This record gives sequence, structure tokens and C-alpha cells, in this order.
Amino acid sequence: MRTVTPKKGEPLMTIDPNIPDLNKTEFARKKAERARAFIAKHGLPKDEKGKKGK
Amino acid sequence: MNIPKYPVFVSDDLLVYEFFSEGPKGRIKKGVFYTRIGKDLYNLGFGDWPDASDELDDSSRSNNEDRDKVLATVASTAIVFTNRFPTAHIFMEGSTAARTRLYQMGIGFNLQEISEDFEVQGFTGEEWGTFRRGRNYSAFLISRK
Repeated sequence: MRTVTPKKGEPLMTIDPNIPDLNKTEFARKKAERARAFIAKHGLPKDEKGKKGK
Repeated sequence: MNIPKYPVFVSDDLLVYEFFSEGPKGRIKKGVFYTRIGKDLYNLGFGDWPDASDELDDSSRSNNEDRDKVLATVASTAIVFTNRFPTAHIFMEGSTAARTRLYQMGIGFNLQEISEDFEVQGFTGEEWGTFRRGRNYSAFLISRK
């Protein structure tokens, strides 16, 4: 059983290769589309790494 | 973080997480996932994950009296995710105003501990700025320090 931990002292998380890939769902596609639309309209913080601001 | 959290199962690529909320309404499966929407930019999706479904429901309110534990568990997924993708920025927007308010309360409640690892910015409706308790936001951007 493989695990990962968020940080020292935190509970371990178990890696499960059988978890369905939610990123392939229609729900994920709609959420991503909505997020992109928000960012296209409002931008991102100007001081963010990568200069993502408007 | 010292707030109790639920045991979590995570996909190989560390993009999809599942856990079970436990309370008066029973055992409710929850899902958290990170979707790449740009260079170093990911959308956080979160909601109930009905059995036998591959789709999340982010419109329901479980009322399982464990909100803080659930939100702390979601926050812990962000740590694992950014351990793997340290330059990623996480975008969060609720599906409804109430949902966004829930995120805001969760961030505010855990702000001291979240701030140990993350910079949190919020969009007020007019501009982005550093997250502060008591202000209302319509979206959030979280980055690893």
C-alpha cells in the first residue's frame, strides 16, 4: 500500500489507482469552463507568479 | 494543521481525492479534484460523490455537522497537491453564492494554519487582494509560499 502525507505529523493518504478520474467527467469540463470564463473576465492577481494579470 | 481530518484516498497522479464524511446524516462520500485550466493554474472541484456515479454534486448541503473537519480535509489535499505541483495556483469558485460563502468561511476559520503554507487571495467583485477575514469574496486563488 502506497501512501503520501500532507506534512509531518499529518495523517497519511492512501494512493488508490482505482479511483475514477473525475477530470474526465462532464462535471469537470463544466467547472473548468466556468473557471476559465471567470478568469477571462476578471483576470488574476497581477503580482502572481507567471504574470497572469490582466 | 491541528483540526481533525478524515482518512483520504488519492489517485496515482494526486489529482483526485475521496473521503467519507461521517455524522448524523450517515456516511457521505466526498470528492475533491484538481483540473488544469492553464499553465500552473488548476481549478479545485469539490462536492458529494454519490455512489455508482462518476459525477460530483456540488450543489447539495450535507448538513452532517462536520463542516470544519470536511474543510480541513479539503485543505490537506491542497498540501499534497502542491507538494507534487509546487508552482501551481489553485482557483476556487463556488457553484453558488452560498457555496462560495462556505469556502470563504472555511478559509477564514483555518486562515492561521493555511497561511503557514499558502498565500490566499480573494476577488472582491472589483479586484483581487490578500484574503482578510470579514470581507466577502466571489473567488479565491491559493498559491504555495
